[in-house]
Amino acid sequence: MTYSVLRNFLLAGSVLVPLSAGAGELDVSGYIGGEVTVFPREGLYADQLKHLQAGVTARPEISWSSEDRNTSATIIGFGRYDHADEKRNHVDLREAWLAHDFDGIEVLAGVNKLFWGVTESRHLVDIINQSDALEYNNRDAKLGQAMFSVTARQDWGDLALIAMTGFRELDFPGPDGRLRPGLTVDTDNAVFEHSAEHWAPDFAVRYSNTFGDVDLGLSAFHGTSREARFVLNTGNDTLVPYYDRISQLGLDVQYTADSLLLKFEGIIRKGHGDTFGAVVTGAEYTLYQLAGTGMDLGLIAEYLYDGRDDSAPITPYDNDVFVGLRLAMNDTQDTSALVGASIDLDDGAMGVRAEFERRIMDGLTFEADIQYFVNADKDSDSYGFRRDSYASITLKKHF
Amino acid sequence: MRYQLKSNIVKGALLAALCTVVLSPSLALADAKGLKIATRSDNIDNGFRDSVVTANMILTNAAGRTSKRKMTLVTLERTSSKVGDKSISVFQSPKDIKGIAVLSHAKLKKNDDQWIYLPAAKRVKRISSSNKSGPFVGSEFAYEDITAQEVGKFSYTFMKTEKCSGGTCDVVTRVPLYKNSGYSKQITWIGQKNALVHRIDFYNRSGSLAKRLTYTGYKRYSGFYRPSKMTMVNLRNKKKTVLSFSNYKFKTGLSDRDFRSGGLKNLKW
Repeated sequence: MTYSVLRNFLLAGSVLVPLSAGAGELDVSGYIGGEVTVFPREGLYADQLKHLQAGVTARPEISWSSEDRNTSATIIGFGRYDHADEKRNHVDLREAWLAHDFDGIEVLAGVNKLFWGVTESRHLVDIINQSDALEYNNRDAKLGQAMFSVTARQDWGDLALIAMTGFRELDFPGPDGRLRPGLTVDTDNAVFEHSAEHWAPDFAVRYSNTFGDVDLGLSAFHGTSREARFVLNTGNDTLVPYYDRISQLGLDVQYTADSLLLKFEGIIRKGHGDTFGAVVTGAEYTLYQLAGTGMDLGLIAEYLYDGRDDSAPITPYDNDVFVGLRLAMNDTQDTSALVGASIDLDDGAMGVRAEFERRIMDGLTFEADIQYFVNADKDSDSYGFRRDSYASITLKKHF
Repeated sequence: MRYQLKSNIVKGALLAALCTVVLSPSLALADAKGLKIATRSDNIDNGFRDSVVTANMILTNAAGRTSKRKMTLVTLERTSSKVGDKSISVFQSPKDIKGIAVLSHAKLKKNDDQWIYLPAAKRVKRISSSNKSGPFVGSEFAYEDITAQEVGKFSYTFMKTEKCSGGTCDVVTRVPLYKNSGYSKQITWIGQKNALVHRIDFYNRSGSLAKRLTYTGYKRYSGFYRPSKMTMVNLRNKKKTVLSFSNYKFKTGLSDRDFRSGGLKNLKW
């Protein structure tokens, strides 16, 4: 971990220089958070923390743009201190980039995060950034990725060409942590298909545009897979991550028809066993001003399919349905809530998640989350997490 | 879902047909004059090209408790009278929603095209805008009150002339042509001298007076008049929202390219 952080700082070095150049606008913001997670049941493994996990997080952000707004730079850091699981203590450079807009062509160098896609239950085409798997309560948490990109924003659409290196490995909670695999993952000895390992070059292209009520994105990726296969070591006591080289084509489409959003994401991927396809598709329908109040209620339903074989990294999304409700109170505290359930159509295993968020005073927000595993039977994907259902509360001070 | 979509379209078509039949005969007689006043009021604004302004919003509830929001509003004028302006609203505070931005491509009689940018996930999301009548960030302003008030959005009837805060005003009733509007009509007070709007009374769908908006502190910036304050009072629940504007900038050199959804990821406001 230290190694990768250091590497990112070195890469960011070139980005920091222009900040001292003076003119323009410098902006500092971010949050500091405190959280407590309660696991009602003890874990499956003797080392694991029993019921309570407390932590402190911080996410400072500095951004700058020149007077003419054509040159800009951003640095975002993230850190966590965990009281029970040493392995979860980590810092990451989420972003550290410098960009210049040459009249509709944006050139960016540094560590960045990109998001691609339209669906809610799985972000299938979104492949640029590695997941920050230590942040199990925040699926949007991603590790910063070093890249050089050129993006044309023109009348005919947006076209981005991205070259990347400095691969970010998946990381996992330590022996004391919850929501971890049964065996230790030997992250120090990961195996790469490409001989250049972390420094192998990855490439991506994305075209996106809006055609009336249709928003469309087409993407291609060639490089080291962000997903790992796990192989038992010779002593049968640890799991070794294997990172294959893959090629992937992705398509994401949203059709917006009044209150109804129809969504589709699909990929074809080569390099993990047989070439396979995967799909997430569904709809989101919003009931505005519910029953004469100012509240909006969104109904979400999505179907997930993944055709990969046993030689590919495991996915829980092979044949699943997601249903969810999203409530926005539209009050002065921006209160919102989300309840969703992923149901495995093969074995009935279910992951239920509830989220609540509210500003309690200016600069201070309260969040509550519940994750509950139902029917996590012997053959289900969540079997190893069957005792890891949890509830957590978070307070964040924003500045 | 598919059934729902169909029935919505059908309902919309029926409503539109109904409006045409019921409203147009009276309107045809009614009002060249109302339209003329509204057109003049709209035209004095022509040629501003683009504007950037800081907006401070103070929301007061019935008990007198206040909360604040600060936004940067960026607008691109579109010269055709058949399309609405393009705009981006970027939140600066409260700090927890800092960086959230909404991009709108306004349409006259249809739903706007609208995207929201969520900085935590760096995600741009196309959203439905069929809730034009819904509250804008918990305020007394509805989305349709905030967006540009193009002439083509309403039909007009001249009522009378009377004294108002801006001297002498023409009072014009306007009826939204947009089928999902939350209003049955709006009564506007337009100054005879500068053709500026000084007051709007909003009547809800059941026909009763619901909200009153007053414009105060008009100032001239590079030839264009802008209010320094807009006060919306909800006459039914006594809630109030005050929008005050500062740092107006015009003709900053923005173009369509600055109002593409992809650009929301790297806004510099």
